[in-house]
Amino acid sequence: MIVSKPTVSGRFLAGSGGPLATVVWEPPKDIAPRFAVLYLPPFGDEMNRSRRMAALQARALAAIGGTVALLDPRGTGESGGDHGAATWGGWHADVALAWAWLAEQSNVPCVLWGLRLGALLAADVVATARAAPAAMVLWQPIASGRAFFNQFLRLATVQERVGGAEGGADAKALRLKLAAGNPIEVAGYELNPALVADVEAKDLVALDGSRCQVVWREVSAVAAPTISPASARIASRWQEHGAELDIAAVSGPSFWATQEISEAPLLVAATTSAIAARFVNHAGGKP
Amino acid sequence: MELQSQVRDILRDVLSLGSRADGLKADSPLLGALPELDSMAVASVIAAIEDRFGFIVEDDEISGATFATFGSLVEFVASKYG
Repeated sequence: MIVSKPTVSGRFLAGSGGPLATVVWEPPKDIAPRFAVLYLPPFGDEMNRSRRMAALQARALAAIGGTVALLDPRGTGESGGDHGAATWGGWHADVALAWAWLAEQSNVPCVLWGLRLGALLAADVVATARAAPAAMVLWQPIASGRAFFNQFLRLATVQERVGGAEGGADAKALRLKLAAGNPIEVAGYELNPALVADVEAKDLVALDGSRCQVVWREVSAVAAPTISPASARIASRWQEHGAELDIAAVSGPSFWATQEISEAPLLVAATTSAIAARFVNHAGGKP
Repeated sequence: MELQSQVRDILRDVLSLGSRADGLKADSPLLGALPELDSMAVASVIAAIEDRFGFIVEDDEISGATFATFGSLVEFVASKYG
């Protein structure tokens, strides 16, 4: 018996900030499309380190009937535009465009899926979009934009110092440049002060998590992982405000941060089954 | 105790300590004793602590003393989280 497999192709969409690169996974020919997924990657090096996990998850979802588009927002990856010109609003526009393109492909529920800063972007889009998607999948979401850039600057400046650059950049000097409205370059990435300001104003807990179903997954290296206290606090706040939220932790490496490319197969399995339960097994039954 | 085991797991994860993390006691030295704990790793450990507990650490809040022993690191987390 020949079992057909998901197919993958690259595609450029005509974005307002230049060509938008997407990698699109499609279900095998003998499987009807059940749902569509748009993936929003994390920031900086994390985006490259997690490409493999994104592809593994996309293939797993395509195999059960998902059309999955992996997006490079403007200024990142293969897409057009300078990294230093990228803004939060520009990324919102890119997500809207790719989402509209996916919706045109077939009349199935759409899911926004994001990792780290991509998850914060997904939640922000869901909270502000005119029409909410059917669900959002948050992988290890950034809870605080300010904490995120603090860490990014700290890591990068430490890296430069360890790398031997005498008198290398220090976080305070970079902060002063940003405050004066100047772009800075950190770890090879040019950062637009407007992007940093917009991201730093974002707190996951303050976003409306009740507009669609939420599948929230964390990974932890321990054998019996638990939801982090920080995530539990946000989740319970969202639930108080009516969010339909499914949150769990699975065992696996911090694949977006590890020097070597690593995989978290339990995360892929847990995400695939959560999506299957909502859009495949009960298709036609549940709204 | 709960806090202690969470900090232990963060060190295990970020520094890839494996079962060596189980041997960490309050007076176990960290900086200078764990070869994995270079300045880069210190920044990663702080980031992991921030993400897990949901607070922000300012650069002037930490010094070598914070990372002197396992106990001093747990105490720091307790003082921020408590």
